[in-house]
Amino acid sequence: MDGIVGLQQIVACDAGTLLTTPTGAVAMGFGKGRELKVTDFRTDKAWPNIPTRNMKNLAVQGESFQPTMFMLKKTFDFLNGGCDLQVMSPKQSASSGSEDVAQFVGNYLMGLGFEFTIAHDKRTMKWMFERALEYTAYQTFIDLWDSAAAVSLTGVTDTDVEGKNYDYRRWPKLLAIEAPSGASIALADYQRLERKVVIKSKGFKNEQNQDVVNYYTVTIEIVGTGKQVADLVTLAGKAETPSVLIKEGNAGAYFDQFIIPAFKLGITDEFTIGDDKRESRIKLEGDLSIYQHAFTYGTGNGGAADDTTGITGGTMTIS
Amino acid sequence: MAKKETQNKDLQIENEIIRGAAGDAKLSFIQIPCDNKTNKLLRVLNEINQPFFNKSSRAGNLVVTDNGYRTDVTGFEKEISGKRYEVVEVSNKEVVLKGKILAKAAAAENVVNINTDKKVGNL
Repeated sequence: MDGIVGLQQIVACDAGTLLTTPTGAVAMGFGKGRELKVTDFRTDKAWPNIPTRNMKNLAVQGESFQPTMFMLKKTFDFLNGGCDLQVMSPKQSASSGSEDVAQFVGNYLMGLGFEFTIAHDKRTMKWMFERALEYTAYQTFIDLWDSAAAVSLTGVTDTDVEGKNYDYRRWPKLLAIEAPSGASIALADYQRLERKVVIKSKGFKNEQNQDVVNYYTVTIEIVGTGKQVADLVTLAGKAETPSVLIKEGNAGAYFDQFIIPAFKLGITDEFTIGDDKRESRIKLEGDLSIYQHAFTYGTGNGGAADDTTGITGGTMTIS
Repeated sequence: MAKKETQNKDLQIENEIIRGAAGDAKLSFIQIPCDNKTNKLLRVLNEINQPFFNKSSRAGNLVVTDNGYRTDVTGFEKEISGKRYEVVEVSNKEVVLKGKILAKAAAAENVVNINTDKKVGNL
C-alpha cells in the first residue's frame, strides 16, 4: 500500500523527557511548510563517476503561526541538543496508531536553528532541525519509524495531534518600534512601506551537521516613503547604538515586548530620491549571546496575571 | 484484530565459541521465543525509555530459529545487561514480549566447529 503524504505533527520537548514525562513541550501547530527530508551527506565519487555512500542527512523544518513568547523561550532552551523531537505522519492505514513516528531522542538528537519573525505580513517561528547519521545508524533509525508508538503530550491530543491552538496564534499588530527607547522610528502609518523584526540563530555546523549556536542576530528594518529633510536630520542625530524597544500586540491588551539596551544594536540607514520614489531604509542589527536575556511574564510584562509561561504575552529583556 | 496480551520473559545473554582453523571466536547472542512469521523489532531501553539498541527481522539482524529469533549482541553485553527490552510486532506496533536482559550466567558455553558446522561439545 502506498504511503500517505503529509506531516501532522512536529513537537519538541526538553531533551530526555519525551519517552518518560515530557516537559516543556511545544508543537508547531497552526503553520505551513512542514517537511522531513532525507538526503545523502558528505559523499564522494569514485572513478569513473560512481557516487559512493557516506552519511544520511535528516532535516525537519516548518513554519509555525503560533510564535508565542513561550515558544521563543523554549526555542532558546532547545538549542545545542537541548530537545527531543517527535515527528508524525498522518495515519498510514485505517488502523489506529498506524502513523509513522520518528522520535529524535538519545543517539538521534537533532541540532536546531530558528528564525523568529515579526513583520507587516506575518508573525512566525521557523524551526530548522538537522542531523547527519552514519549509514548504519540511519538504517537502524528508519527501521523504528513504523513500529514506534507516538507519545501523547499535554495540549497535543488525539483530536488535535498537530497542536493547533488559536489562543497561541499571532498576527501583525504594531504597537511600537523605538530607538532610542521612547523615540519612535516606526514612521507614521501612511509613510511606512514595510517593517520587519527578525531574531535568527547564528552558528556553525559540527561533523554530524548539527547546529552549534552561540549567538543570535537581531535585525530590525523599516522601509518608508515621504521622509522630509527634518526627519533625516533627526535620524542623523541618533546615537550610533541606541537602546531599542519593540512592542507587538496580541489578543486584547496583551503584547510581546523586546527591550534591548544601548550598545547592542547598531543603526544604519539609506535614503533615495529618484524619479518615482523618496524611500528611506532604517536598519538596526547586532549579534547577541544566546543566554544574554531574561523572559518575564504576567501583568506589566504583556501577559495575563496568571500566565507564567508567556502564552498570552511576555517581555524579553536583553542584558 | 484483537490485541494480543504482552508476554513477560527475561532473556539471557548466551555465549558460543566458534572454533575455526584460525582460532576461536567468542560470540554472545540472545534467543527470543516468539512467533517468527511476521516482522518483529527488538528494542532495548535505557533508564529514560529511549531505545538505544535495536535489532529487526526486516533489517536481517533478527535471525529466524526454530523457536523464534536469535540476535548477535557481541560487544554490547555490558550495555544491555540489566536493561528492559520490548519485542514489537511491526505491523501493528503491539509489544508482544517484554522483560529484562540478563547477563550471562556462569554456565557452559557451546562450541561450534565451523569446519563441520556442528556443535562439538561443552567447555
